[in-house]
Amino acid sequence: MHLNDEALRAYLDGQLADPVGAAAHLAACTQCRGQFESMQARARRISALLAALDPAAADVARPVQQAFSQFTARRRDAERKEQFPMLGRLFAPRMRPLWIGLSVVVVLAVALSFQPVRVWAGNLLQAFRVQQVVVLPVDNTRLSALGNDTVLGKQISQLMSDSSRVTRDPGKPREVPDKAAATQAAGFDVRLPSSRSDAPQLTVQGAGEFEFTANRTRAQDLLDQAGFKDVKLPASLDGALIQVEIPPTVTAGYGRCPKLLEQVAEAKQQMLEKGVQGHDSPGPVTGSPGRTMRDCIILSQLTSPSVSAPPDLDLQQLAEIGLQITGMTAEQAHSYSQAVDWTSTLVVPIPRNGASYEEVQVDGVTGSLIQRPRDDAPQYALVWIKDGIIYAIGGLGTDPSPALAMADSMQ
Amino acid sequence: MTVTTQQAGAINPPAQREAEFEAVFLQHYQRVFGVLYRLTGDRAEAEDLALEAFLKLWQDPPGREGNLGGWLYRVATRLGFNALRSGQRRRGYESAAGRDAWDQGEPPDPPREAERRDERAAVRATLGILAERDAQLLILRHSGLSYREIAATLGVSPGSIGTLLTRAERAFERAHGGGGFDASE
Repeated sequence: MHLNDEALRAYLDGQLADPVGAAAHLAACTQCRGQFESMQARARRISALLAALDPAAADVARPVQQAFSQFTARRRDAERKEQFPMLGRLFAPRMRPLWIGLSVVVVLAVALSFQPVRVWAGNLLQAFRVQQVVVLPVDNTRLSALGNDTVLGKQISQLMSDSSRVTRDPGKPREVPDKAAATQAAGFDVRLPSSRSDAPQLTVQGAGEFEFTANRTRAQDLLDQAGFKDVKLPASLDGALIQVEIPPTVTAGYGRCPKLLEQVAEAKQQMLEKGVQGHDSPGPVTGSPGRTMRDCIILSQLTSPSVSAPPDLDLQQLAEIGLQITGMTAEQAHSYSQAVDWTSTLVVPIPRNGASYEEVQVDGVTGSLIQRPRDDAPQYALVWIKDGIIYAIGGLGTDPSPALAMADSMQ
Repeated sequence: MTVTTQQAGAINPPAQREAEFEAVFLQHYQRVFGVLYRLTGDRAEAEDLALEAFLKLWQDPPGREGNLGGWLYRVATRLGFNALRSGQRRRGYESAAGRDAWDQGEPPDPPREAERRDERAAVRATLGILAERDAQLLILRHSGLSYREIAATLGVSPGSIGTLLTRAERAFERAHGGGGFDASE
């Protein structure tokens, strides 16, 4: 029996399970040998042609470890671009200046995916106190294309930096031993979950203030460049002085949250150095969690930040602008903005395709549970407001039940 | 406390996943680069596409039952062939080799180098007009993948690779040697 093409070819390529048997057959069978030789000749011709494509000596791949570092950088970059700030991240001290912006209005929706605008937009309010939370799924594809890495992003950052100023240093975050000490330092009744028997790592950061002077011409110019030519900022915005006060914040880290204190210190430093510029370094519960952080759950609490701005600013108009920037049509934005009380609602924008949310009953009130089912680092955040205090719990994983249990056992 | 066990027990703890991924990267990078270099002829582009393939693998890995290496080479060759074809489209009817040198203001090559460049362009052009599976077979085998690995990449039986390879070579020779093939295509 002769060898078939498959066997001949596999023998030629050294891929045959029984090369000895095939060799013996080829030695004895002229027909198979003839076929094999013709197959071999063709394979050599093709191989010689393909060899022209082999990397020249000067073009060999870089060392694989170097390539892996490059890959890691690219991966992180991709993850950063697709990240959206979970509340856990927003409550991270480093992000706090942005969170204020966040806490303000829907315009903040922008803020989340388009950081510089976030601060700018977030502050365009009259008196504001958070009394309720609304989650708004937004289409951030247009915005995410305008990240901080772009020239335009940098211009916007520059404008923010030129326009804002820290007027009260929040001071160094302090570690406190227990709830009583936290209450005393923060000036409100701090509550902790009885569902946790372990002692949290407690820190209190003092109140901070910053102010922002709006430059309508430059802001409009940047909006035009960003492709939002149909959006016109109101004239009343120009030169408006907006002041933001951030009340003391208490953060309780449960589980292994080793970087918490360092990040608090770093955040403060950054705030002082860069004014209200925040940057996209991940907060304690986001980014690529290290092996020691996967059971870290962070609970933050604070009274509402307050923002004051000239009374002639048209709040609703600004909210509509923000909604349009997040992808709504002018009509949709108008209709949505009328349904919301912009002076008391914290609008939390989440990417339409990247996260889900639901209303949950916790701590005797309705809270919002946001989940981001990413493969490598699923996260959740739970936010609710009780007796004038805003609470948020952020954690990693796909199971938010520990957070729900914590929220239900606050005392 | 249940928190720790629930979270630690989650599928794919990130640190473990990163370590596993690094091992896969170290194992396959050079060869993925080799495949892509042969298809693009450009070191920077090959490196870029190789990282792109690994990024896709990281972001959207095959399920547990899927073959990781096969998935990786499938994605990489697809990226490579797209680049090869779009490069050819870009160049249109102009001679790829000569025109590139002209564009870059390079001095005229010694005849041997110009000839080599034409040869490479011609081989790539042939790969570009073959059925994609034939071209994949030839490039993957030439880049040193075993029959088993090629089979996992193409989703065919390892016992058929020899036959498929022989057919692909015949098709290559027909396209390259006769039939009015033109290196400038």
